Amino acid sequence: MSKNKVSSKDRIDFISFMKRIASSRHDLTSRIDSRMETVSVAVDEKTSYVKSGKEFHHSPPKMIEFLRLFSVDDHYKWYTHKWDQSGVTLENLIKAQPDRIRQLSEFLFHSENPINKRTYGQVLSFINFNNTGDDNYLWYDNEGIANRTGWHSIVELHKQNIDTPIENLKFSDGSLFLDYIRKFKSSIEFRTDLRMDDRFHKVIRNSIKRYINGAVQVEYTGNFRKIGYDVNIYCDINRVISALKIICDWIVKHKVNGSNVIVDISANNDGYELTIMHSGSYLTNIGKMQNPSGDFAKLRNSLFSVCDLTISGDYKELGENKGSIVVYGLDSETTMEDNHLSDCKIYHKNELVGGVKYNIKFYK
Amino acid sequence: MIYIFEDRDSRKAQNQDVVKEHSDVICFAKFDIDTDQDLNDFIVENFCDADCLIFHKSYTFKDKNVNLSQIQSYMLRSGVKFCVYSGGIEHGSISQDGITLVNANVMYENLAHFINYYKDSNEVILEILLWGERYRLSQLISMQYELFNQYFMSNDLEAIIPSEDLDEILDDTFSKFEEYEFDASPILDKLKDRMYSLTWNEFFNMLSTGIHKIELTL
Repeated sequence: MSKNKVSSKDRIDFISFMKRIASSRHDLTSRIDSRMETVSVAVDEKTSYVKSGKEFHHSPPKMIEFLRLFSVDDHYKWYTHKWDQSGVTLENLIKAQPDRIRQLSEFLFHSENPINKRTYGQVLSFINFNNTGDDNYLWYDNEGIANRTGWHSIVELHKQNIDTPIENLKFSDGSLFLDYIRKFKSSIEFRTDLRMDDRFHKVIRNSIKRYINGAVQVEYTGNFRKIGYDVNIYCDINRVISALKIICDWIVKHKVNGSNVIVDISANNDGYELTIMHSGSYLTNIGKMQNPSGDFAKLRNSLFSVCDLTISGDYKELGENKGSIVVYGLDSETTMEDNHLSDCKIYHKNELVGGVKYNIKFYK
Repeated sequence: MIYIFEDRDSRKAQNQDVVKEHSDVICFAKFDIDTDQDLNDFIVENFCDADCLIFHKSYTFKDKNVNLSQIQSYMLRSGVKFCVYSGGIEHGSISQDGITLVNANVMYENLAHFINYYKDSNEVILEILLWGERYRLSQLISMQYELFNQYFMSNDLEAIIPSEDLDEILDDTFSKFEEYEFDASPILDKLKDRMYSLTWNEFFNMLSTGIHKIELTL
């Protein structure tokens, strides 16, 4: 069997099996734990959701459960949280990490409702003490900027500055570890306690501004400002930014259809719905919408187990108006099998939309 | 009555004096709901006299089906003030729908003032928990810091504000004033009159003057 055909899940299972056999040999188990971490972090685009032939369900609530751990769970919150409890030390975090990573990997490898593999990668790249070396795995802040600095970066620094609180450790460029902790915290949760630019409405607005880059006129509703200002939810924000880039690229590509975009948000009991309306635009080629490839497939993969996605828009066939369609890109019925998402459900409507409306649902 | 749901023994010990001193109006409590118990019934039976619940964000519930946001929604719907604290929360905030977040140390530092005000007026002012006794002044200073940090730390003060950014700046400034419940209209009216060729420095002066005028009223 060639090396790249062995999945991360197989590797983790094999290492776990070896650890059970070697359980009485501490010298061996620590080496095995070290291998486990290295494998666990290697979750990238090539990693499959494993269990070939099995269906996995799109489940944003699972992502929330996963990300919440870093805010409220006593085993994980010290990676983002001031150490205000006795007994929390770097040594203890390092020692406990193999077991913690094994627990985290359950969210990806042993669940019917797995989190997005990129969400898992984002978190592991930051917390993993073994994510070292020049080609270490990256995590992304809420501006989409890649970072190499994580918990692995402060192990040696801590040894040299044993009395300095972890968050105050200073790197050679003058930045504090606290700066990175804040960046990470605000990449897994839309927060209201940090900078204005970390708030939901600013992250969305700044991303749209960056990707539309003046190509069309973008208007934000009063509700967007009012509701978006207070949104406080766990979310893999970089996945949302990736999705916004694809949507904005489409809008720019079809700007000839309409030069006006309206961004709105509404709140309901279980979450928020962000709407990006490209007035005057329209959809074509229902087959591509139903069984997407290319950018639409990328968009769905970006938001799998992060947010629901619906696109509704006026529909034309060979230039002729055919009412409108609603495309359910990701919803509670969406499944993934062998890394392929199930087809989108599409419904025809007689009423016109007035353009193409992208609807992203965030869960509380 | 005010209930604090603190599950950290060390923090409870550190702060028990102030709670004991005012035990007629405040106590440490547990949310020991059983798995088969109805949440509404449990709250009515145990906390029907609550004017305010103060919850540790990481509070561990015996019944895993119960979570903090359920209790928060229930209480806010019932008109009971609700505050969440954690060592991981950096700056306090109160959302328009009443969701209140505060840093754990800040909350305990301000607890005595908060209780005293409640005893004197029978009114729960969560702003005191977040910003202390002179909370309006602290809020104004916080707002000033946040706005100045947002606009003036990384911009060339002599440069003209790009016209395409003005709407967003107006929106964000208004949101910040609204968050702290200060009247933004005098500043925003002036800004709207000067929408074009406004430098960052002129904007800075407008904001400073406006904030100073508010300060004089506090």
